[in-house]
Amino acid sequence: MEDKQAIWGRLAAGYFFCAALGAMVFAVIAFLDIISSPLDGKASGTGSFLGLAVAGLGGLLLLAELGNKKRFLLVFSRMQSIMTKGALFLACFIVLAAIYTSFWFDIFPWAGANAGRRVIGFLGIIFAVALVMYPGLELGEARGRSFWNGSALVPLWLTAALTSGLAGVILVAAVTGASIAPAIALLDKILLALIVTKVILIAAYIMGMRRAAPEEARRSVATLLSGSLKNIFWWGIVVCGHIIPCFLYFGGSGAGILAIKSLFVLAGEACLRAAFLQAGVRVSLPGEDNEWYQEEEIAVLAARLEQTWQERAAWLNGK
Amino acid sequence: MHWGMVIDLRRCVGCHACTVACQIENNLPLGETWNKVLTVGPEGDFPLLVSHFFPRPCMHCEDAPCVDGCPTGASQKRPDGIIIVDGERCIGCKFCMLVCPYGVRQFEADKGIVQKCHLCYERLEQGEMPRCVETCQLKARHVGDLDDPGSEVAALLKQANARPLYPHLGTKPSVYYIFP
Ligand code: SF4
Ligand code: SF4
Repeated sequence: MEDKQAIWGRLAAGYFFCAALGAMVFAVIAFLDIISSPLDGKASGTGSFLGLAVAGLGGLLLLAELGNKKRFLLVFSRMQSIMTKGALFLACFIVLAAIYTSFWFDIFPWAGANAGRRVIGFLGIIFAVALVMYPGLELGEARGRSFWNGSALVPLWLTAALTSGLAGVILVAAVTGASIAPAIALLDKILLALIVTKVILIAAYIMGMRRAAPEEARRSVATLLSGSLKNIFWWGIVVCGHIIPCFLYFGGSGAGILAIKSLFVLAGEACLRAAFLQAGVRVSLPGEDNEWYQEEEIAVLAARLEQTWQERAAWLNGK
Repeated sequence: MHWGMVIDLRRCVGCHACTVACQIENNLPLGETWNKVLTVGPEGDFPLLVSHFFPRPCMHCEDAPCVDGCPTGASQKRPDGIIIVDGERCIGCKFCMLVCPYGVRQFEADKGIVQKCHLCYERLEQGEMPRCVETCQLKARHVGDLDDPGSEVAALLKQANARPLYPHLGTKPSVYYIFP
């Protein structure tokens, strides 16, 4: 039986993290822009560029995950598939984010056209939210991996993505010197509320899976809490992603503290994606508990066979 | 027409001949098996221990999550119910592997695509049996038209109370097992 989900690995987790971070950094900046509560232009321009670049990096990670990269355009060929929808959301988001970002840079003739920028920003927010929501539904399609419950994953991952988006914007503001803007103080308070909400959602998710769900979901929970993923769960998600950032609220709101807090939140968010992805183990088939042993056995036999062949070949060639 | 299989676990002795025959038929490398035989048990309290074997081909699900999820249409359901993978369209995203509850799909790293048991549909079209069915000396495997009430598989389904694996998942497998 599986002790970890190993089909989609680090690249997929990296994609989910980058897409969520990029999309939500963009969404926060565009939202502040639309409600006419902008950060200074430098922070908004840098932030929206960062959102675009991080989402683009996510797209590259997704491409790297494919076994046959040359055919990647075929991913757009079946609209009924949730993967096709996700790829479309990513592509549309990247195009809109690129156009939006261009409005913040003087080298483009349309820079500073506020109305146009806000319309594009609004459309970009729609695709950013879709991009953040679809992975929960995508994983929820795996019927034999009941730890991934689509309707529970969507709110959790949306909250997590929003948390990382706020942390990303606060980090950009801290680095560009815009952290004294009133909007950042407000975002910092919302970030705290989201961190607390996320703790509640994660606890409810895990307790729900532990109590009601099938055998493989309980196995997933055990892997997270006390099995092979316990370090990433307790140290990565709980300590780095939640406890340390909460403590840092006692350290004031200087740019340095804000930046460090944001980095911890982002590290916790990356761990959340990686841990939840790996924890989705499949329902075990009759006899599968013996199978890993057999595979090891087969590997040993194959190695021995290969060695014998080599010895025989060497003997023959020697003659 | 709906091709299906009945596997009589009371007859399977775990010789793995079907596994090897499938590997030869499909020219698979040593480590790749589309048709594993798992060992269940021994279970119970000594000395009353029991064990049996569990061959696991693709279940050719009627409501196949692998087909629903495939973004390229490479995973397809044929009109006769057999689920196949078009290697020319597969991009190797492995989503089908993730959503298949029976773990039957294999990633072929050298080609960058996913493949699996196709019930030897080319042999079936020529009136031959799938290689695993032909090879099984204990006659544990039976293949036929599930829609035809006069077929051998339909009769076995009725007589021996055969059932699919994990029907609660809603995949409606076309492979049925007669459990010991
Ligand atoms: S057993 Fe898996 S690969 Fe075969 S049809 Fe069902 S879901 Fe698809
Ligand atoms: S790996 Fe190939 S067959 Fe499987 S979902 Fe992706 S494109 Fe379809």
